[in-house]
Amino acid sequence: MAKFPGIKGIFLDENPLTEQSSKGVSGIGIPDCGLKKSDLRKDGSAYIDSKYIRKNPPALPEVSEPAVVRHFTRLSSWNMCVDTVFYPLGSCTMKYNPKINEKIASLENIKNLHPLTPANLIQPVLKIVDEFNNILCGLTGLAEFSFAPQAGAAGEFAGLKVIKKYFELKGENRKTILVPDSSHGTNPASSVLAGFTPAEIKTGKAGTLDAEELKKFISKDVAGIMITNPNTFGVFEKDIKKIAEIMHKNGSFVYMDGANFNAFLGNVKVSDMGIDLIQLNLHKTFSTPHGGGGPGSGALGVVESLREFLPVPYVKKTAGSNIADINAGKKTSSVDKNSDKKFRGANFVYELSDDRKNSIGKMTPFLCNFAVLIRAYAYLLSLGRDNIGSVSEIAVLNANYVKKKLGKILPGSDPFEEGTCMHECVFSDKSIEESGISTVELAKLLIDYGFHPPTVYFPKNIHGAIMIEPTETESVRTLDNFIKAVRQIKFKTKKSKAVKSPQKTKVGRVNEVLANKQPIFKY
Amino acid sequence: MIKSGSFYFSKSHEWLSKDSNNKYRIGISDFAQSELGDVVYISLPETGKTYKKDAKIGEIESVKSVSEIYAPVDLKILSVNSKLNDTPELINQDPKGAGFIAEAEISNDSDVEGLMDENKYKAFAESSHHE
Repeated sequence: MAKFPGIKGIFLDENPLTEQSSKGVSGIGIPDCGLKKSDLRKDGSAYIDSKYIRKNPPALPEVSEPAVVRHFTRLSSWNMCVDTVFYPLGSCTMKYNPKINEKIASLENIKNLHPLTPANLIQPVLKIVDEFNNILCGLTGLAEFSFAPQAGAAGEFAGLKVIKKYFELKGENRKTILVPDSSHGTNPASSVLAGFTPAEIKTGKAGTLDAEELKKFISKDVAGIMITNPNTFGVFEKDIKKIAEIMHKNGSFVYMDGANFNAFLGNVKVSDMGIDLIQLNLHKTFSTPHGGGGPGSGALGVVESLREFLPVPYVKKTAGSNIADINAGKKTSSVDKNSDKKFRGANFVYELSDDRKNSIGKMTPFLCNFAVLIRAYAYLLSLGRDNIGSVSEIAVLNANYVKKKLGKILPGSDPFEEGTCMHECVFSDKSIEESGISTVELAKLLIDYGFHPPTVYFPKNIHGAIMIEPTETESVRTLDNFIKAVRQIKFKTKKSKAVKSPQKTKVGRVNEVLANKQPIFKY
Repeated sequence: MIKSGSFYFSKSHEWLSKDSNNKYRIGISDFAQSELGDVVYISLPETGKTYKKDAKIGEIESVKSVSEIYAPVDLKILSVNSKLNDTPELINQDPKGAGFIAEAEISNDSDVEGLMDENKYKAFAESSHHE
């Protein structure tokens, strides 16, 4: 009998903090601000203009420290997260976040960094940004990364703006971005936001884009293609080099959505596939916390010819005799890429530079979401160059293990049964439907077994899709347990139980229609 | 010949049904609504707008996913079923009746003749359940 993680025990009720407020209760003591009466202006305001001073105090809940701690600890115990359960959510790489990342990000001089600190006082921090950029360039074969985009879709948007600017400067008005139906869902939306018109290309049976089909869409109006590789079915685009050749011949760009970078991280350089731009989602592939609307980072990498269009500010590395040069505001000459040797051993200074006249501009108030970047940097350094490739190797191995084993339990449900998959596998509901279980019921039942559900009903063109991405951190023991749970659900679950699941969680089956149409909003 | 009151279906699971003259109703099939699951939101087409065949005229959001509604033939939207804004569940309850999406003008009846009739569509829908 398999031992599933299961769900048992006490879930404590918890109300919103606003409902727990009692007048005068306080969790913290704020020291006297030190202002004397004589510091105040006549109207009672000090350094803040009176028009900005609120008339009434904000309606913050007044609660004690233990009340706050219990509140959030209780809420977190209702949650299923990657620290408590196997989290095989396909198409979105929800990988475990190693604790070393948190340790590094919590170092006092990193955690307490103020975003307005002048560059001369944060040289090591800027050096980290520069070195992290170098590592990503090494992994992708691209020329430079911008860390301004703070999410995957923001990276897409920035990339498309870069393409737009390139053509504007060339005096060409190309309006179309090609988007295969197997690419990531945000791609068409990003195209529209950036001022392009997306044109959808239908993919073949294996979910891959056919080079011949692509040719039908080629015209001088095409600015680029957005392609996700491996595509959204977890299948590698074998024609990728041919696709890139066709695009480049037309003077168009190949943008790759890096959402599925975990499938070949450290093994294939995207530059070898002919990719011109990519956004790397640090919150996916590089193990920084994911979800809840942020913080994220969709670092945008581009080839040499597009560098000049990247957002500002950026970290500019300059050879200088000492930091005093920068302090004194002296101009220093830029480093010639080929003359690195000359400066070996010399001091480098790092500036936050706006000096990029063709830049698409500023995307964020500051340089980047540094707390995310530092975690990703720690992740890469803790793995080391020689081990980074094993991430994708094991991720792909794990996905294929699940594909083959579940394929036997769910016969006729694997649309790509013949081949191997990349980092995720997908099944239709054909087999579970025969047992009277729907995809959503399988997902909900898995919760009671102690597993986070896979992605369901996506991709849309696979009937009742169940998409599983195990990621590299999961052991065979965990995968076997998950597979056993699916087997048990398929062969032993009564419909009467399936429609009511999950039953062991704090919140059971919700009415999805009401939850969508009349959500109860409490804060 | 297009018969008033009969339903004609597209491969993307919309239906058309003739009211009078060039006036048609458009909606999604019973099969489509059952595949979508409970509908929670609909984005209706624009009244007065002309759409080409296969153009996107609206979107349906169900508890499972968001799906596009396409124009089965060239058409012009005369009016929309605004009841769906507050009660999109009509699409689940009565897809070929109260859950219709819009009324449209179609100049060529012959365009509609190219669509599937009730029997042909039934076979098509069954085969496309698990293609």
